[in-house]
Amino acid sequence: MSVREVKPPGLAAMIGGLVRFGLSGFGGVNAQARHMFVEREAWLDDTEFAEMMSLGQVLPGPNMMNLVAILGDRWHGLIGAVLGVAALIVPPVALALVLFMSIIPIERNSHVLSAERMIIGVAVGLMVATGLRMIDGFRARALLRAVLIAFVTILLVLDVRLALPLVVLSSLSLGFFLEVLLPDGVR
Amino acid sequence: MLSLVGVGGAEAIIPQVHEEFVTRMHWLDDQTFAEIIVVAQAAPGPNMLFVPLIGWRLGGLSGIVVVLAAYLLPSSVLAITVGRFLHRHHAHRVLTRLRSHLRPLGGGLLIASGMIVLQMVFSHGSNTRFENAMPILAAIVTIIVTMRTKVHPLLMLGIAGLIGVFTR
Repeated sequence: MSVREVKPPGLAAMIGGLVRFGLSGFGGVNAQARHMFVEREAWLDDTEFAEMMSLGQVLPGPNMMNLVAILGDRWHGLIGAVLGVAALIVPPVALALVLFMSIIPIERNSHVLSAERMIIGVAVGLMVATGLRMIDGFRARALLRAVLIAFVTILLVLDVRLALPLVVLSSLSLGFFLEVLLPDGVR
Repeated sequence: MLSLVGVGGAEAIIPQVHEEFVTRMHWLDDQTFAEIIVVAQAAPGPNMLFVPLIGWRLGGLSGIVVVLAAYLLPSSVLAITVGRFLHRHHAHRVLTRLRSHLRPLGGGLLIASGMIVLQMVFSHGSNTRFENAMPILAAIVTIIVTMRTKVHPLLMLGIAGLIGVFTR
């Protein structure tokens, strides 16, 4: 673990960081979020990041926008939330528009498709690794509970195909139920 | 701009958006919709890039603004409200317990989202076995490298892209 001190960014640093983050987010920003917030900028520690990321996902709407809105608001008030979301979205939208108008006529040959599949593969790996890190960091019984909650969540989404609000509700109830069933033990 | 407040990651609402804009409203044709999704995936940035692109297609620059506002405002206002509430009552016992359950839940959701994205690769149907196996291999290698080392994600994405070009 790094010993770098975690501290909230100033307004300008936050905007600059988010612009860079948005523009380097090949394969989706979710995949690179932990690297950016925890390792590169040290705006959050691992636990804070895991909590904010979860919150962003559980709430309706796009995850990363939720997360940036909450953090922007916490660090710099409403202005911070608005500017943070704008910093994350405006440059990529502009770039995508240029791409949309210039690249579409180019044939998507098998090389491009093959490269795209590999990039998606890495992005998925990054997302799963971040997911695993979010489950990690608990001890003993608490770790067992966390693994169970995560496992059931994955099953509910992929296999049962439950709507997200119901997944959130079920998994959180499971969490409280497990606290009774698998208590932390003697203190 | 009704009911654009989809729950879940950006990928999760693609089928819903398709249903609404292509099948019901006939505002876009299938071809255009597919092109938008492809560009949004290829460009760096948030996964929800296809939303403003649809807005641009429908009404130019003002279309982008309207669609983005409709898509982002309700969820952001809710997120900020919840964020403030949780922050204010940071030390409350029930909320502390809730937060400890929220982390594995979020982790599970992220892993599940990864699987859904991976399924989008397979759903093209015409892939050979090799073409399906390579991204899975890339994902596994990435997980190991990410957990063990501090290699920059962009480097991994770049190398994988190059491997993709040359194994074709």
